[in-house]
Amino acid sequence: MNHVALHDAPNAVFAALADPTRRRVLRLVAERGPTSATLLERELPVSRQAIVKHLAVLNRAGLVSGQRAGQEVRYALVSRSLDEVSDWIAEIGSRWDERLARLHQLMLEQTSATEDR
Amino acid sequence: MPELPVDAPDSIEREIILPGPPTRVWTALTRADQLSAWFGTQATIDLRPGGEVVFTWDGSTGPRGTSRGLIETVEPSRRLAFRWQSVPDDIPMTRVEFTLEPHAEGTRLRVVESGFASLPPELRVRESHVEGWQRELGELAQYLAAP
Repeated sequence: MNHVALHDAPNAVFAALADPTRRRVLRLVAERGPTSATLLERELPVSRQAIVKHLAVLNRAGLVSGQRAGQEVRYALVSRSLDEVSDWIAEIGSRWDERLARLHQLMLEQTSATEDR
Repeated sequence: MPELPVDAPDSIEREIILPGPPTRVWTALTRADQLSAWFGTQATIDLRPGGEVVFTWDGSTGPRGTSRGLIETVEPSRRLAFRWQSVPDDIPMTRVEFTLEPHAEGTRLRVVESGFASLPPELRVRESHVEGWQRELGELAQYLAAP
């Protein structure tokens, strides 16, 4: 199980997603469902050891969670962490909406001021 | 399987048609007093590649603070780009690019903020951006509460 403090999560998530190979690992985990490092090794041009490391980073970021199944650990996507990133980016988008609305207002005022002259 | 935002959340894109020609929109984007008027905080700008654009929150509606951008592209009435730098450690963050085009009703302005997916891990991205957001929410709340 993951015990990622909620306020720390986005930093860890961004750190985890900054690496392109890790994004591929995550995408594969998402597409395949619960998957082991051994299974991922067949689909990625990196060593099993590297995949295990990537999975550990993704796990710490709360993006995947591992569950032991016999000899191996199977990792599954935890979509909640990604939701948090999406929410954060949506917030920044809303800020642009507000700024652009104010810019529009400013331009309208300037246009009418010119016409009044 | 829903589409996953694994690669997707790298950028934010917006487009708006503004009254007035590109030259006037350019002035609103690049002159400190006009920038201050719509960006929602006090701005200063040194308009040249390598110059700085600085936004300062005075603390009256939220935490006092500064956001700094390093200007990358200046093409008068066409394109302006800067990259946010983290404060105080100056780590490059997301890139903001404005593109202006003449339009039948004035100017088509496009803004793209990109680089979210590759922000360096050491950045306190959430803290810095959310503080800014909360500041703006505070401003909005004050505006709405005004008689």
